[in-house]
Amino acid sequence: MNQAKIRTRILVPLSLTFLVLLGSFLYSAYAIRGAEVSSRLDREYGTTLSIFKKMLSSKNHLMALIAHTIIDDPHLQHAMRHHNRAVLNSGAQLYTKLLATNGVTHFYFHDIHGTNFLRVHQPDYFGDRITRNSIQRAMQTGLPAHGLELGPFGTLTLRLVIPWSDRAGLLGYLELGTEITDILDDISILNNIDFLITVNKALLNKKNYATGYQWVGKQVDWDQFPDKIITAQSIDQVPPELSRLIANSKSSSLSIRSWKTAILGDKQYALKSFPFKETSGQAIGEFILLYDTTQQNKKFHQFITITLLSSVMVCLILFTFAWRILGQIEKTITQTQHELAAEVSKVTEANRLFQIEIAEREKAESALSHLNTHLEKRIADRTRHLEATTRELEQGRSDLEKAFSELRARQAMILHQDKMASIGLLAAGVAHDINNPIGFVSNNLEELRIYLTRLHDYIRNQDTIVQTCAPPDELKKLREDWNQMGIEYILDDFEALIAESLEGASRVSDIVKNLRSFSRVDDFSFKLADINECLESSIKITQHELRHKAQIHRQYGEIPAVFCCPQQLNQAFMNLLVNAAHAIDKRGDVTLRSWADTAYVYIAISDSGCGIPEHQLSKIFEPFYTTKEAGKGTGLGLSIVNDIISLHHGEISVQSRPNQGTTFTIKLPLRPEVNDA
Amino acid sequence: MPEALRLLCVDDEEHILKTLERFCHNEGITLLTAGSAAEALSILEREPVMIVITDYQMPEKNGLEFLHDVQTRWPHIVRIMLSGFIEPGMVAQALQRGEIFGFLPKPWQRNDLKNLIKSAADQYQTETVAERTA
Repeated sequence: MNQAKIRTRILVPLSLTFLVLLGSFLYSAYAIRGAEVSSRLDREYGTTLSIFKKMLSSKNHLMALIAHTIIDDPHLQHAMRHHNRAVLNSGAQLYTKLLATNGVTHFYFHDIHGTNFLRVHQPDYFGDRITRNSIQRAMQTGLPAHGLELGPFGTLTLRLVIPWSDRAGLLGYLELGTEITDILDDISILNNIDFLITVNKALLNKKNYATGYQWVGKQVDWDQFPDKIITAQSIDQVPPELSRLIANSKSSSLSIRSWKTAILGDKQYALKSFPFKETSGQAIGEFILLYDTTQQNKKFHQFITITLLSSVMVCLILFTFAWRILGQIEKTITQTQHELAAEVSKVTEANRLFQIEIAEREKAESALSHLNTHLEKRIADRTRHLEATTRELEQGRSDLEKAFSELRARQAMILHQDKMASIGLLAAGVAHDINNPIGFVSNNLEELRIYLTRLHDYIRNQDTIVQTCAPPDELKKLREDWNQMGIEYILDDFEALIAESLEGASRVSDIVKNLRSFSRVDDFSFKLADINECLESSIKITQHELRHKAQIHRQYGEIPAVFCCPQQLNQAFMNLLVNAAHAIDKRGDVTLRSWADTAYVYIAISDSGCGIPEHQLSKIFEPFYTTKEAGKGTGLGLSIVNDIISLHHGEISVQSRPNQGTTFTIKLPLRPEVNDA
Repeated sequence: MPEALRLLCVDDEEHILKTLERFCHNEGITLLTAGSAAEALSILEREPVMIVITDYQMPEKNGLEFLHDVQTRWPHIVRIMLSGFIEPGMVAQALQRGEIFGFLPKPWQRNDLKNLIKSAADQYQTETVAERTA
């Protein structure tokens, strides 16, 4: 595509359209003009014809007046009655002047048979039979008849035939006639038109014709046209175009049915031919109407020129404008085209890449579908992996939970131990204050025992001496006093009394000592220890709880020393003993047993208490689980026991029957493979 | 015992002193008593003493400090600690360093005390002989 093409594509059809429109306009203008001229010619013809007829009528009327004057002349009547041609002629001569004045050129008398009797202008030519239409009609009707008729000499004559009668009957016929050439001249002047009248030569005789026209004083060129002669014309010269038309036309008709133009000198004529007929209806030639259109043509052409010029100018302006606008548009289009071309090349490139990509994608798709076939298997594998991982995670989580609960228990234990340590410190503080009085009480008791022993010995000796040497009365009295005062009992009993007192002091001392042991709770050192001693120590510490509730039964076996942390084991045994005491409602039994095999030491602590319901057995070692009423138990006791036993790599188990009792059995390895405490 | 034993007991608790007096009386031991470290030191300056038994927890100066003074000034006197407040670590240290000869917790067993004093007396005898022969 290029610039010129777009301009041409738009402007050429536009120009053509313009030209077509212009042509249409011109055609329409000329057609309208033609129609106007044609109708003008028709109208002129109509007008002309009507004037012509009126003039003919008027002429006829005049001729009728004259004719009646003539036929009413008795002289002439008489002459005709008697066929006296000479008299008639002389009588008629009187009227010729009148007739000539009125333009009547024909003055005939015919007999009753239509045969000419007298031609007034040509008296020696008569006796010929008249066959003209006018006389025929007058003879048939018996009334005056008139008509325009072509004479034998080629002249056009308005003839009036009047039947001539007297009292005796029909005399004959009077015929008057006038050449219409004058009338036609008048019409030309009146109507401001020109005309030509042609007559077919076939209807004429060359010789007669010449004679006839000689009479009317007109020069007619017989040989001007092959078939026609011009009988009348209002213009001096026949325009060449018309001459050609007439020359080329057939004898019958000129057939200028549509109008033509003709130029004569500086005048332009529009012309049209109409058939020219006699009154009888026979066509004798043509009436050619010439209408001067010089002025109109001039105006019309001016109008056309101005219109054309202005149209062309406007069109040129529009054309130029369109040319420039289109130029700009074309520029824009060209630019756009360039851009488009660039885009297209880009798109083409992109398409190419697309094709490549599509090919790759297809490849990838096939690879994908191939992959897909394996994907399910892989997904299943992956799912299995995930499930395994989930299980592991779940395991890890439960491990973590366990670790957390262990930590919590451990923390609780530490808290508990802290509490116990505080008690220990308190005990340590009061130990001195307690031990001092215990010290002197027990030692004084011992000194007292020495004293009493001495006294006892002395009294026995004294008694022996007294028995031998004292008077019987005195002796009897002494014996009575002895009995009365219960000396024998005292001497027997003081030893037990002191022993029991010492036992009490010792017990107090033990309690303090045991309490004091908690002041060093962080001393988790493992050492070889006697479990039975540990049990005994625990009993002593919990004595205050157990004393009022239970009878303690010791069934200690011979067991080897165990590598353990005695403080912690004491704690564990103590907790179990306190629980045993709490399990007993009023009074029961607590039994401690110990035994050993080659690898383990077993400790069993049983009570005859309320027992533990079966559904609670699995929970009792959990931290913070308690069946005691709020404020009475921490729920930590058994969990601490469990921790301590675990620390020793031992095991603890429980057997219980509701309302019969509970037994905790601890199993400790003799030498646990640990030194981590 | 070749020589009459002379004991000095130091305790702020009067009952303890009296109990010990009874014990010594019954055992035939000469006993001097003091209610505080200061009093004991003044006694030591005046009287010959073979064995010192002191409480640990006392006002002003505790037993260990007192025994330290005794060791400094009268090193031949055998020193025994008697206490109701047991600090095994401290006692063990003192024993190891030779600051004290023996230790007896309150309340004590009569025989334990008797045996301890006997061995202390033997110790005193041994050392005195060594000094004399040296």
